[in-house]
Amino acid sequence: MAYKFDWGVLLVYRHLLWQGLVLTVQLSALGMVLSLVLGGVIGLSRRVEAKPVRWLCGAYIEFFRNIPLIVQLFFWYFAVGLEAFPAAVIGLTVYTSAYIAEVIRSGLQSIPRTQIEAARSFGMTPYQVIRHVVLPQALMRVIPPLGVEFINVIKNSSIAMTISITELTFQTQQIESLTFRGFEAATAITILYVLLALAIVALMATIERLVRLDLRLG
Amino acid sequence: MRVTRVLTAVLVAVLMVAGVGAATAQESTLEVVKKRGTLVAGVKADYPPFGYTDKDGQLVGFDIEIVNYLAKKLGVKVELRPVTSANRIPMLTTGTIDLLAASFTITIEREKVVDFSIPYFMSGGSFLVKKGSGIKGYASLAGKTVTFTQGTPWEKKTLQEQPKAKALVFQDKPQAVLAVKQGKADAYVDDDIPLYLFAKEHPELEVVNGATAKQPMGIAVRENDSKWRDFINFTLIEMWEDGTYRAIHKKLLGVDPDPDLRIFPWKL
Repeated sequence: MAYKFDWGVLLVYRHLLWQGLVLTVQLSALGMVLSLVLGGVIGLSRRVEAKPVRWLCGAYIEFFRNIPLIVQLFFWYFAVGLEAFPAAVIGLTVYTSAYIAEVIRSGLQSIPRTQIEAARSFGMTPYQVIRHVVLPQALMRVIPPLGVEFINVIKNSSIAMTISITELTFQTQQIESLTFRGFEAATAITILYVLLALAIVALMATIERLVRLDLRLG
Repeated sequence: MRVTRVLTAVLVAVLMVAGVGAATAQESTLEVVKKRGTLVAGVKADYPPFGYTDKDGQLVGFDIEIVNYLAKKLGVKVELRPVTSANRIPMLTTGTIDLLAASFTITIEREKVVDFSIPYFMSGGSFLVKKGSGIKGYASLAGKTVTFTQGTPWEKKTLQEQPKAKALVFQDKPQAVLAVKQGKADAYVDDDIPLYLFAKEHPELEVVNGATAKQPMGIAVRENDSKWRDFINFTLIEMWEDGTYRAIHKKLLGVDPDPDLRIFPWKL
């Protein structure tokens, strides 16, 4: 192996890694919360009676999830002219919410029609059917794919460096261009990204356990 | 004995004449080119605006214009050979090409293996700003937002010169240019040549020099060929004097040559 590792550079430039990590966490956390809200609303709206609403939500999903994120970020930053951070948050939110809406919809659709018909024949109102029959079961089923989407938010947040956000991946390249120590810097962020992803996995596992307890599923 | 001495003297004389003959047989590239009727020049094919391929597949650019001018003075045809940064010196020293006009910066290390003409272009770091911004150099960047592309030395250099500047770093040049155009940044610091091309495309932007001292580029020839090198030098001076240089500069970079740079100032 011809390459001599010098892990000291990580210590020298740890402030860059720390700044990048903070920005990545801020960006991802905001992106997750906002896209869950927006995606939830859109996913649920695909089940309403009014046809134009369903159509509109479908169009939103197909439009935003089929345009590369980098193009959307350029749009918000350069074309709309937002500041870099709001542009990144909005771009990530809009893009991810389209995926989350589909996750929510698949959760709702996984409940067999017969259950809903049975609940209705018991005399439950449509609201009661949703609240007591569909949502509790759907919630259980969307938690694992939601975790996947959240991990994607963390990874996608690195694209924000194209609009001058100095997040974790950017800082890695900065360390590389300052020291020509690309492998060390890449190793460091690999570990950091894995840790972030594992944190999401742990969080989703906890939520799943709490929901199971709450629903008395054991 | 006398015979031997005479023979020795004759032999020495013959050897001396042969030696002189060998020295003069090494004729200058100038004669070789004239005899051949073709000037074979090494140029870049991928480095606008110096040497690049246009949309018709033709090699064009600043260096090619200079080669054409030299050939016109010689009354010979031009044959262009694309070179890369890695193979350009061997192409010249092995005699494949007669001269090298390939955005070649004059350095001591290179002077050891080839000879250079007088400098015909100066290149360094510059600022791309909006016209009328009043930005004159690092001093006027205090409190301003300055944009860079990642991996260039300009961010470090600028923040050393002006610690009060705010950095905005992009991955590619076009985004940095757009940021200046939209007022997200006040200046973009990078190598001057791409900046000239951007300023040519976007008339509301201009290049302000002075981010670093400029480095000279020269035409390289084989070592110890004074006749050939003189011809190139004198022709470059003529080119400057008769306005051709200025016209080429204006055509390819969109601006007149920097008035501070008298590239050939010593014709009496």
